[in-house]
Amino acid sequence: MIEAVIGLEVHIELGTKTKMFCRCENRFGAKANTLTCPVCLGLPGALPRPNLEAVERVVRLALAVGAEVAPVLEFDRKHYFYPDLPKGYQISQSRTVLARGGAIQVGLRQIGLHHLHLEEDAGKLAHLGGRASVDLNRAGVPLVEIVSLPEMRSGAEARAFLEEIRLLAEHLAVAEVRMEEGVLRADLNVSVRQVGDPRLNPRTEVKNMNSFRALERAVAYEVARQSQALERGESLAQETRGWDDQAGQTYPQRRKETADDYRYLPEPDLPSYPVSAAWVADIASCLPPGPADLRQRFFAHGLSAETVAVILESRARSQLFEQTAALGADPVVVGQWIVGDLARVERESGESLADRAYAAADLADLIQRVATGSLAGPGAKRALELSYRDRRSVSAVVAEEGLSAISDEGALDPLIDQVLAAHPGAVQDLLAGQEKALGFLLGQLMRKSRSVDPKVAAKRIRERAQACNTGF
Amino acid sequence: MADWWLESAAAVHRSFIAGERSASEIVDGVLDRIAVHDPILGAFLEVAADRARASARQLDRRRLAGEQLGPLAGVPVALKDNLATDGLRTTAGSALLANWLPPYSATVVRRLEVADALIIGKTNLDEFAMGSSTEHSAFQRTNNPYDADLVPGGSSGGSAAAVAAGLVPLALGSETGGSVRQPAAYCGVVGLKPTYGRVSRYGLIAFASSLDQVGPLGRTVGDVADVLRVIAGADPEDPSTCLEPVPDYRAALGGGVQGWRVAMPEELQKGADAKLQARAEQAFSALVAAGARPVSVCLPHLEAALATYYVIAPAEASSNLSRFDGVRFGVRQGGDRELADMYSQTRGRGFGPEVKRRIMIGTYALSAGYVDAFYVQAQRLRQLLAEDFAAAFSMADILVTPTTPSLPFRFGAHDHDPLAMYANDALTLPANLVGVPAISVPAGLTAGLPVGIQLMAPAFAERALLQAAQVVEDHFGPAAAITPRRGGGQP
Ligand SMILES: [Zn+2]
Repeated sequence: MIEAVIGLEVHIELGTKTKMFCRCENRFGAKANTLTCPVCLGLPGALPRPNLEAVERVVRLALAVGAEVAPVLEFDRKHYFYPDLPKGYQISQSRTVLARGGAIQVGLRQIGLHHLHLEEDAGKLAHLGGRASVDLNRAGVPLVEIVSLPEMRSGAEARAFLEEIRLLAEHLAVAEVRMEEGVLRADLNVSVRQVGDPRLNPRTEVKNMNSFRALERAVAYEVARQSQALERGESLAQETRGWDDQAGQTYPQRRKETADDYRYLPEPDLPSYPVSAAWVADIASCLPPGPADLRQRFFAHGLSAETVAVILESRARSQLFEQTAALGADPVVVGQWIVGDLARVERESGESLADRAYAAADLADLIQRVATGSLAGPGAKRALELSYRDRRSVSAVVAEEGLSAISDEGALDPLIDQVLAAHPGAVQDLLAGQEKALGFLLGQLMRKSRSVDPKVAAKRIRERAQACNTGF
Repeated sequence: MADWWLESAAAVHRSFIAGERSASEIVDGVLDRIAVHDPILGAFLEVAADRARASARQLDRRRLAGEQLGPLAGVPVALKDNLATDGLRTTAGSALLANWLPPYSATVVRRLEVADALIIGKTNLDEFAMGSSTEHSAFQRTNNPYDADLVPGGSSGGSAAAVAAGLVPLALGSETGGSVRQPAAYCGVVGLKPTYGRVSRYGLIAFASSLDQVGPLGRTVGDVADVLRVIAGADPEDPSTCLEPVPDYRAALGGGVQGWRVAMPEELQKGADAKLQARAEQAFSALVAAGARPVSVCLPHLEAALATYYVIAPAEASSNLSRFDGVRFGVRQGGDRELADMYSQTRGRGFGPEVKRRIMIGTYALSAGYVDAFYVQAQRLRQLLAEDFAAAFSMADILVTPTTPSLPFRFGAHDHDPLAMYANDALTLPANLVGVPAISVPAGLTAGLPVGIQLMAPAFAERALLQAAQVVEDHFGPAAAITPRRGGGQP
């Protein structure tokens, strides 16, 4: 039996306001080379100065995964030549990393971490018409690198590990992980061996995976490729391979015959900064709940696995859920609203909950009105849409848009009579016992008014139809 | 009054404030003198005449308007060409930066401008400040003003020669292992290396970051004290600067050394020319005559200082110079097909031989398998040296040594023996390794050539250092500006 041995090196761009070693704005999507200064351009004479906010974010993440935070903050230079690396070295950490150890729970298994360290990102190369140009807006953006132990055994597990890291980044306010912007990238290391064999075979490294699905597929491909090679008695070489997403295959990039020599040098431009235990304790004392805690709490509220997954996707959703439930709303109903209509409204309005705080009081009010029958299904949906879109309270929307459920018969009857008069055929069918006709008439009624309480209306349609009939 | 530009910076400043001379007259006088003498001397890589005249006119208007003016108002200053200057070509003496126009100014340059100094131009240096003779400039040769067949010292040779020849009263240089003090000694002027962290390095093109420091050169101890006060102090752009307050260095100058403890560590005299040792003893006697008490100290690890320096400095240099890769700096060569080819050709052709030698040494010292034996070991020795000096400074307030082991040498003397050139820094580089301040003060001539005496003090004790330097200056007399002379073998 062959098993896979998988390790990941995950890079997350921290969502700080400014870059790691200068005060340039840290933002995606600006015009090329506009978010730059002498420091991040690597101009001769410029010097780095560390961004404390970035350090704090990594400390939060480290505490959340149970890693041990180092008592000093020190940087090292990692040297290599590449056109997107303006100084010819990356300021990173090697002798002393910001945090060591820790683990991330994935399903039933704990995946151990080797360490977490802080470093700066490189720029980006763009190839245009045979020419390469460099955009240095990303140069100097703070990154945390999370290095796992080689403890994952399948593509699904690697994927789940990476997804859990995304959730950690989200809930601990480390970064806003937009995959399409390359905020989260993983280098995959995979080898195979006979189960029980303590030795490791040479591994393949696949760099810069930036989709969960691609990661899972790349593992599957590599495990199959390497296993087949072993079965054929071929020897494997340590190598770096690329991932072709369309073909669903990895392909050879370069063989590593010698280890890369990055000539690490203690960064002589920066002193060693003490990381005080009191400061770390302060951060620990106001650490927001991580995804594992939240997941447990949500399940305890009786939510389904699907609902929990959708709510956990965002910190804003999770907070709204907990706050609304705390106001006394039925947690299961709150969950249904958040994953159903609210998620739809977020999508349709193009404004996610993270950008636009939606008050738990409003969602609780809405749920309360539905529970007491003063707001009916379609009216309630409408009230949510309008209050979300226009930033109005639910009570204002209900009052101003006349969305209150029409459940008293005096108000319903004239509308019902109009519908019955317009559709005599359907009335006949209903009287003849065809229940489908009731649905049709109810639908016609709802088109006239969204605020009709359907239960009351169905009963009343039947009664009015009978009355009409007797009237003949 | 004909040779007013040969006066001290303080005198020039006073005459400007008193309205005896306008800033425009001062600048014109300086530009005339540069035009006459610099063709022989070769101190300036660029004279920023228009910029200096414009600053002078503005300063004159402000003086007439009765505005408060800075402590260096009206004083012409030259800058070593490894200090980034907004809008002024900054080459570091390298072909790779032949046309670089920085979009920003070094902190020290901004502070000089805020103090209303007049920036006159950029001075010659060994490429990337690597050298002790200014011979390794990619652009030109700078002669010693006392004898054009001799080097001015380096790497701040242009700054030292310009001040010595009276082209400017003040200049900034930079130090990694003695690059201010050694040319100051060779040219007969005062040169100060401040404590590491005393002066911002922001905008100084790095040679070896943990050793580099900007320092002033002038013809009097007082002038150097005035510049230090302007450029020293914490800088948010340089995390290695310290919050230590900046005192009025000049105010202390007359205070003498009564009751201070002075020492001449034997390890820092060894190997020096006997005449220079004798001169250092004279300076020492002058301090004792002024009331200082002689004590003895020893520096047991000093022997290892030169080797330690020549591992650490090239290692950091090889890293700092990585950015000159042809992508944005340097004349891009090759690489039509292969990126690696562009790097090797651009760097291979762009850097001069001395810089390449140090990049090779540094790269080797940091390579996997060698880093422990070289770089890590050198850091340990550096720590031992720091302990040596801490012990010495617990016994003595001031250490006295010759600044250099020998007098200025001839051009080309060390072409085939780089180690002999490196040995030139033996007495100065310990101060860089341990971060303490040190100054070279002129101590007259011998055989018609200037001699420099080095004083060293504990970290951040620049005030005491300058105070003692003033006693030495009073003994030997301040440096006189010299009109540069052509040598026998003039190029
Ligand atoms: Zn920047």
